[in-house]
Amino acid sequence: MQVANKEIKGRIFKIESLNTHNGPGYRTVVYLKGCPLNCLWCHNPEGISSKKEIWVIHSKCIDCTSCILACPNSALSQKDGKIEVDRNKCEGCYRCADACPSKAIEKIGEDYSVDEVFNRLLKDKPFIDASGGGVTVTGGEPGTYPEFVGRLFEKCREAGIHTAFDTSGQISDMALEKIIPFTDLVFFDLKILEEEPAIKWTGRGISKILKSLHWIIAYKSKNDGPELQFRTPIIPGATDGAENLNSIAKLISDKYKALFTEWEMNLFNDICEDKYERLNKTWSLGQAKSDLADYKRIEKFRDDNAGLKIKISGFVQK
Amino acid sequence: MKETNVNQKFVPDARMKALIARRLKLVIEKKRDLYCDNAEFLVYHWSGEAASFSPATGEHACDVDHRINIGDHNARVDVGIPFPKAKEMPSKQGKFEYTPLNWAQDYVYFIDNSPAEVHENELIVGEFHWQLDEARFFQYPQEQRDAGFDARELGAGGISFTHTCPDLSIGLSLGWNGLLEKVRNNIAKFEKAGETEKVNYLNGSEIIALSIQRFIKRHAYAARDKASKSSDSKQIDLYLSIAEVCENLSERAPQTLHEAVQWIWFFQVAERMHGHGNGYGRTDQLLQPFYQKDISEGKITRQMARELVGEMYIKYGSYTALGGRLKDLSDATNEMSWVCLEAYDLVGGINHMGVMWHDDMDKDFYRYANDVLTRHGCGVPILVNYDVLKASEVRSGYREEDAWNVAYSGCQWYCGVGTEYNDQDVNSLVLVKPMQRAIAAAIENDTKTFDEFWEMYCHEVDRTADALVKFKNSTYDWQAKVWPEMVTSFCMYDCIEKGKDCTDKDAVRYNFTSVNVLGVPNVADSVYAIKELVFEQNRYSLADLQNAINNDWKDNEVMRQHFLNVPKFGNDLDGADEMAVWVSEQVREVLESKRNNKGFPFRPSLFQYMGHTYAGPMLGATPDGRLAKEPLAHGMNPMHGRNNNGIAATVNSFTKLDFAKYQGGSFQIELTPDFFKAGVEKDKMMEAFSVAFFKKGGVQINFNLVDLKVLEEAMHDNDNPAYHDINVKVTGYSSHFVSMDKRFQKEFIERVNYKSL
Ligand code: SF4
Ligand code: SF4
Repeated sequence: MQVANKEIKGRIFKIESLNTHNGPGYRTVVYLKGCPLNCLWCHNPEGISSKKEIWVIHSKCIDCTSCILACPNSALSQKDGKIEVDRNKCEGCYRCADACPSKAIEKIGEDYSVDEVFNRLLKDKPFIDASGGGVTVTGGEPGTYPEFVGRLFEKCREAGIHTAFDTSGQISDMALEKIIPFTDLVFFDLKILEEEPAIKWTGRGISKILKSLHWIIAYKSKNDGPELQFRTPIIPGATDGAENLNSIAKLISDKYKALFTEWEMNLFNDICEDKYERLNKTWSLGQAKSDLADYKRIEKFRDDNAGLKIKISGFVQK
Repeated sequence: MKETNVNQKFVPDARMKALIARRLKLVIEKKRDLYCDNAEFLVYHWSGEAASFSPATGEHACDVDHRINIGDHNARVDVGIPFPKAKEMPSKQGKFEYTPLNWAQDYVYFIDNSPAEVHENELIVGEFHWQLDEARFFQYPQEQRDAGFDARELGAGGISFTHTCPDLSIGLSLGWNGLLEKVRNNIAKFEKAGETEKVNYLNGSEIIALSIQRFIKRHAYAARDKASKSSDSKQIDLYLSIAEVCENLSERAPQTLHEAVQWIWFFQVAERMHGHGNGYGRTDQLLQPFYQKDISEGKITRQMARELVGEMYIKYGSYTALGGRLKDLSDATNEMSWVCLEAYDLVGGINHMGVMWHDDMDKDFYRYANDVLTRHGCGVPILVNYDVLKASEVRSGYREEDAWNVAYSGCQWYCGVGTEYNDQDVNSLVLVKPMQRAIAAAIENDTKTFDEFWEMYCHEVDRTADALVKFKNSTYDWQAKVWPEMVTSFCMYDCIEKGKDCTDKDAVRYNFTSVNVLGVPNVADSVYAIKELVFEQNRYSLADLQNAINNDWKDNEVMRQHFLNVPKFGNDLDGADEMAVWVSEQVREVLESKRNNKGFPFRPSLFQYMGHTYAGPMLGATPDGRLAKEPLAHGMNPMHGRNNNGIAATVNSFTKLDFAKYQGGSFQIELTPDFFKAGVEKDKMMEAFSVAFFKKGGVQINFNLVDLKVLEEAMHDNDNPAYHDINVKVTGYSSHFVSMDKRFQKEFIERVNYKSL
């Protein structure tokens, strides 16, 4: 017998309604926790580990030390008036967060069943219906939860809710098999196409990603859908080189030209820097945000490759 | 949003540009400001001093340093001096009496001595510089005032003053001669029946109608005079056209769109001279026949129509409504609905029109409304849900045949056109007060359970409501004698026929008393926190709590954080939201159980204009973790900074209330421009949002597109002309940001809580 939808869970660190930039119309975006890659520029670093984590919003802390007393693993301490987390000791039990009177400690990641998330989507349905919107799963890498995403999308399909799957491509064929048949739109990340730099910047090589892409293309040739869009984050020094962009352009124009509807180039900003701090991680791309010159260059690239349906997104300081 | 940055769809010509420039100049020179006496007025809607808003000049005027500026949404144009003949008013020469006739004699003298002005470039004329309350004694007898102070003590108050919606189609079809004839016929009728009081009332109406006719005619003279002195042929044409229209309108009913617009504007001028606050109904319905006739006769172009309506907006963007349904429930949108919206797109600025959405509305028109709203970014038009407005009127006891003709008529209220006098938006019940008394009583009685505490709370709400009933009844006993609204009454059904003023008992068809309930979200959050932390978890005692809030939570930060972080209304969390529904239903039931001495029940409205800003320090800290210096929640909107789950969650919480049971409760959204990412079609997204909101049962959206950085700069640099043309939708009313009171500017900035998604 099949496991019931209320039993199948995904670990989610955020659900956002009325999002306007992850597919058509108003999107309810579900962020799943856990990613096989480790891109140095990641904007959602709290989505990389699949473990439950906490972070402290120091501005809300009133120094009551309730959290330290509540922690069973002595993972918390106070240093220079600030609560510090020993990530090696923390097991994500969330007792500290529950004890904190000012909600300065935030829980990152809670497990929700397919039914729970679906019910949440139903509440947004009037917005989704009125705008031609839908649900978008992202992360992390949502393909980390094949059963969960597949079942959720299946239910959405039945309810007439448009589904979008935002993936790095670093996922198993089994995951694709579960998810793609219920997906209306795939956002497929193409970051770096060469093996060495890919490993350097994202922690993994490129072969599995290309294999997934081929899988989706093959699926599309036999089925009516899903719609395919490419996404490339424009990271100074990492992905934005002419060579890299040209090789992506070559890949998609040679083989897939008729098969995708948009290639989105997302300019880079550093508004996630404080997240790294809160996670006690270092942010190695400190000064590396896109500027006007980058924007101009990408704009030219777009105009030179008119057939590639390029759209530029993201902010630059003008 | 800054007017100069708006990308208008229709371009004003040189003449219109000059009129628009004059409008802005009047604002910058602070000539359109509206005042009240004190913060109590904003909170309790009664100052304890003036019987209404603060007269700008005269014996009841508050001194300049103490009065509070409510914004520059006044039709009156200040000329810097009081009414020159205030001392010669008939009631000051002869005898002052609390009678409509005595009031009418003052009105006639007042309007006869108000100048008729014709300004360059105008085609629509009429301006006024003083209101009657700047020259005639306006105060209720002591018994009424005593009842007012008693009510305030318990947390309630209110005025009764020009917050209704006349049906201008009555006047448009009769003209002033026709209205006069109607008055005279009824005088004859009542004379025969020997009903002296009614005859006296109508004698007053008669002299007022005649004085308005003179006022209009004087504009014709002024225009001819100017024409004779001008050498500019274009300007001469304008003057002569004005003269002809005014000559016609001083007697007969309007026959062209130009005349109809001018008739409406004169009516508003004549009426607002005795008090401001009314809405003027459904402009598209009123003007459509005139427009159609002119177009079919080739007398006018659509652009000319836009300019005529646009000129009226420049004079004052009154509360008016477009769209909605007709009597047979079909869509009421017509060509004039488009013209009225296009006219705004032509002239921009402060305006108070509402578009009444319903599911069968012309989709293109509604899309255009959302286009105007997002492109201009300053809350125009207001979006309201027609079917909810109507349903709430029917629920109150409206007859179907009257209820369809409901119109968005004020900041956040609506009204049966020509049939209702219901004191919308001028009464207040401050819900924090009964809660404070309930806490004290529960401590004294050593209350052990939440149910007992709740019972005490209910009892205290009831006491406050009773005090309000007493005060209102005392007001109603006197209102038609103290300050009748005799110009308005010309365009109300049944008034002239009954020889009674629209403010009087048994005059108009519907006389509910509507009450703004202040602080519902704060009380709900407070009561919920008390239930959780005091009665269920036994974490704190009520005495501890009272002690903490009496000291504004000083040295009790941990405790405050506990109270603050109990789930709050506005996050789509069931427990907290259920409490909000419970608290609002309770006060609704209490109010609906009370009747006024006009024979109608009280009804709650869940909105505020400024009371929430000033009430904070006045009422002290509250058990929801709020500090005394913080404002209260704005209407039924969740307390600022407490809705952290995004707009959709807030909408879900908000629409757990059934708004057909209340008289309005607007949803306030301030978005920063980043909200709409590049490439997103703003109009479509706004449309989708509002349609979804309405389908969930929401009743009104007040929307602003706000660049926080610019507003913060503007707040610290009020006099910098760069900031003078920023319009915002404060609540249901619009204002230029720089002319708002400082405290209110600050609150406005703080409430922007959806910076991005
Ligand atoms: S989550 Fe649990 S283990 Fe981790 S710091 Fe908090 S209390 Fe300690
Ligand atoms: S419990 Fe919360 S407020 Fe208290 S010290 Fe810890 S983080 Fe700070």
